[in-house]
Amino acid sequence: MPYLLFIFFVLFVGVYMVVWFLLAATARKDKLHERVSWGRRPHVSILVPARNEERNITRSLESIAGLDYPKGRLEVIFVDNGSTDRTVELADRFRKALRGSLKMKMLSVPVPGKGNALKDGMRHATGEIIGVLDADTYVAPDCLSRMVPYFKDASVGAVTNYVKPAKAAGMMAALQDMEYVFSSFSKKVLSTLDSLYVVPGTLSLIRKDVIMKVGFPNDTLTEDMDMAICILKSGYKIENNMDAVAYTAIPTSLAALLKQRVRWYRGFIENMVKHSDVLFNRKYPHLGGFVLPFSSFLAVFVGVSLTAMLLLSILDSALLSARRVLNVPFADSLDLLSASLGTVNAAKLFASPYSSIVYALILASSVVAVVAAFRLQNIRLRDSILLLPVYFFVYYTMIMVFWAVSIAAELLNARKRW
Amino acid sequence: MNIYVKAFAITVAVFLFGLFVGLNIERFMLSDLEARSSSIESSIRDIEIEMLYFQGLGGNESCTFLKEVVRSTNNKLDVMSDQLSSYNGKDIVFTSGQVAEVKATYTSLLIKDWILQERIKQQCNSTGVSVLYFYTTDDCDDCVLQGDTLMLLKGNLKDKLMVFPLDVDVDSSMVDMLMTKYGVESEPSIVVDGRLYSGVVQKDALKDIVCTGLPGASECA
Repeated sequence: MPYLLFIFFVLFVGVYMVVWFLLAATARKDKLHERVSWGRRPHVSILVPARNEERNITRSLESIAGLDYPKGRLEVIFVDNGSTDRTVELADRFRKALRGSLKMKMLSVPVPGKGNALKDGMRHATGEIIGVLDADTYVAPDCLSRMVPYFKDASVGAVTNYVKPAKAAGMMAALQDMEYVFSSFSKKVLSTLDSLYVVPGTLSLIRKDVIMKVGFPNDTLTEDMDMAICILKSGYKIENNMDAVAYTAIPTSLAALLKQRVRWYRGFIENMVKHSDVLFNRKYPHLGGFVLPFSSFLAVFVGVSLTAMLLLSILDSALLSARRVLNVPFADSLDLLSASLGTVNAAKLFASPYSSIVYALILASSVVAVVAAFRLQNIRLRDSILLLPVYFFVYYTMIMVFWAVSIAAELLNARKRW
Repeated sequence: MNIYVKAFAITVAVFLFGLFVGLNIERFMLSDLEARSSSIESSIRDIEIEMLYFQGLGGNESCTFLKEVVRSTNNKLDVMSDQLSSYNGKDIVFTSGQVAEVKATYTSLLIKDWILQERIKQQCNSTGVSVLYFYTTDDCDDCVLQGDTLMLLKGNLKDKLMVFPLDVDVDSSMVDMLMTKYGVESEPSIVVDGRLYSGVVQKDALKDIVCTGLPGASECA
């Protein structure tokens, strides 16, 4: 009976999350593809902090040059953060090729630390609006012009965009493509509830005044989340536009993905601790009342208990299966198999009715969520439909394990690196 | 309406739907088990009537008929045993009491069948080995192994071997009595020809034990 209560609880939580998300997503359908306009074109300074990004830096910088924003109102501030490869050389080459068509400053902050690099860049920034573009990300030409108009509203402190993985081949890339369709969409949904808690370095824009007030926090692993919450705490809004696209480099190997995710999830935990005053705080009804507590709960719950259960049951059945195979010699095991197959009956199908029902319902609701995310964004699901099972059964499980690893690492206080 | 409340309402609806489906599956399973149980009960009644006839009025042709009825009853018992062992008690919400009752009835029928078979063997001079197999579903990996071995041997010897699986957790005074009589203290345990063997009995050892009761059987060469 306790086992049943546990799985019923999991069902409730899982389905609730999906239903809430669908209701939130469809509540402000009008905002999903909104186009905001503004007569003004304020000056924008784009900070590009980089450390050993020789492979990506040129593409990033060229995408800034390709923006359809008036060049006279734009400046690039490249900040080298202790690169030992050709990054600086390539950036310089780019600057020279500009031939003054776009203002570009080149700074150097040798001590590694993105926060330091950004702080230094800020001191040289003349724009009213500051953008942060990581060197591994490039943007679509209309990205900036779609984002800036949101600042028309004086209460808007930051604007974020729609992040897609840069084109890459392989199963890992395809799975992440699918993941980002969902996660980038959910950023928009969260923004309609004043609950967007990340300003990623994919050309997120922040009002200069706000940065002066809030600074560039540097004491967590995911300063983009830290920054966002600090902005919200100082009373400003964070908007998101789904038609302003940025393409970011994604890890292509399992090891790289693990490293990235452990950093993200540990950063999430750190920020939850740092900003625990947001939780259940009336000032932040959706963010503090639901989004953050629920996400944390889910992360811990999924990360720890479900992973533990999964591993234990795999281990348990592996041991038993091994013993069974040893017990019955191979030649005889075929007889055994046919004997047991001979008695296919209802009991085998309904052996654990509630476990199957719960599993089926959670799976169904997850599929509904993904399908809805695709449909609301007018993206064709047909092409990726074969990927769905791999996504749910393999990728999701992997993410659960990554959460478990992150929580363990955080509890054991493992070494941290940027 | 507040999306939190709306989401809660929808989730509860989904939940109730799930329970509804579960309830119906349970009902279906229970009626299937009860039907099988009734069928076995009437088969055993047939055996009892035939034996009465045999003892009082009949001749040798009774043995042929009895062996046939016994065989079909044993098949039904095997299938139902399979059903019951898969349908696990820990995952039942609404009908667990009734399932426990069916299990108890089944166990009584099984034991009755065993007693009748032993008598028939005496009276008809037929060969065949009966194995009482005591097991539990509560954390017993060894029981799974023993089950595999018995099933394997049964595949080889077919009707010459009859296995009577007895779940020690079922509420049955007959099972308790048998356990006391043969000194069963742990699971898995098997009783062959009145002798107790505790722990997992490996395939070859089991074959030897069973074959001592089947002199001249071709499969025991």
